[in-house]
Amino acid sequence: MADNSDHKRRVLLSEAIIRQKAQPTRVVSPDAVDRGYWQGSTPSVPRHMRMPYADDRIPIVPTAEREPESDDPQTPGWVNTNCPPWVCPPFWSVSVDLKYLICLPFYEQTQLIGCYVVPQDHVLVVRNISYEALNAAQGDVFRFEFYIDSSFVMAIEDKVVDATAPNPAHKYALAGHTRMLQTHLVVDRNRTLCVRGILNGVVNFEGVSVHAPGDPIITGDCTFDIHMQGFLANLRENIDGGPRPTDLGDGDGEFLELTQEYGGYHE
Amino acid sequence: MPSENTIIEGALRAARIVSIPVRRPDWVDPSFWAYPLNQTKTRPVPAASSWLDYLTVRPSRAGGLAPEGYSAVIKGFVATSEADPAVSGIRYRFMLGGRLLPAQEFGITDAIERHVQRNDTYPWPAFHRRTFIQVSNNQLLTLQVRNTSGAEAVAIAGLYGWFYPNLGTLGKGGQEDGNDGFQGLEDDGR
Repeated sequence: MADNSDHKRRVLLSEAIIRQKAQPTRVVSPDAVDRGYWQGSTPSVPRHMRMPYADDRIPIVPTAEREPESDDPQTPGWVNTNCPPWVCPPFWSVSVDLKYLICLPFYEQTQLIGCYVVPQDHVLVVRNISYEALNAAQGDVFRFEFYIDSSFVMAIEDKVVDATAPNPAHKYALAGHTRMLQTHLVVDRNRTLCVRGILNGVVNFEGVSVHAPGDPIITGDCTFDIHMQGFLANLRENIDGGPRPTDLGDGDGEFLELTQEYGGYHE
Repeated sequence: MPSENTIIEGALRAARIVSIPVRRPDWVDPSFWAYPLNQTKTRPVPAASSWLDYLTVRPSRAGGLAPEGYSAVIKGFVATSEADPAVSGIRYRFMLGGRLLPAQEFGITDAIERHVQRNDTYPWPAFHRRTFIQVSNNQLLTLQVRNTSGAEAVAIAGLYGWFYPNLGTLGKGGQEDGNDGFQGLEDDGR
């Protein structure tokens, strides 16, 4: 199979070389000189209309940007490098700063802090997490559990190391609002992200708390909150809402026919 | 036969419509299929203790966060103590697959571990230290802690990274683009 295609390529190449040798030497036209002179800049001289290819079947998209009237720059080709939406926020992504705050009045009692349902046309990417446990006393250990569609994803355990710090961002050992805990939490569309919290109090090495479940918190404050920073990356075509293969690139318009079959780019 | 220009134009056109997804590997940047790896712990370590398992990363075992076929990469960690590290006597070491990682047994020095000097007079919260530790799907990474002092000391540690699907088991090339999927399957003999 490979030998056959290689043979065809050689035949095509040799025929092209023979044909080129048979042709008289080319004379550079003034148009070509002019085009080369103005290449890459906005022409102020009469424009050269773009010559269509013999096999030019790029569909005309009424809502998209029109093609240029002048020649393309003489670049031989390029590569679409797509940074996927869960790595780089796309242009139309929405920055989110989810904040959930509850009153957690008892030790050793898990409580739902908050849930977020990712919209149908976006994927949620959480990059940074910080929290406060203002009802915890010095030395108290607390824990946050993250669930996606009721499935456990991860847990973070932290401790009040400096209850006297005036800034709540400096009270905890591993994260604060000024030094957020970095993570990579991707929540797909239509999924629900829930966070649960528990205040254990002082624990030993095995994690056994000195408190019994339901012991009241005596600090007087009743604040337990979590902040999640990230972005909602859009998954649908911004023009008409059609689905878009965000990870495939636009293929210089060549995927438009395919996209039309799947409901995008309706005229 | 098409003319020479048509051939060249066709080649240029083919070059133009090719879309090559340029993606850094999963152990450099997390992908959509990556699971977060955030494990933190703050516990008191008994006085004069031996080495104790403190944080454990087991990518595909029971109790792990990610399903079978995932590996893990550790990109940052915190390993410090609540009290002044100069007197707390807390020591850490990384064990990977039952072996001590070379040059990964370390004590704590105050200015480095708690990162006090970074434009902030408050020592907390602690900064991450950067690292790069690969944990295969059948390996076990353990951050062990030891207290050499005569008093109980609180160890504070965290591991940060992500779980990513193994290239060999999931056929990632087939998911990412249509160019090399079948070729990769043939190479693997599957």
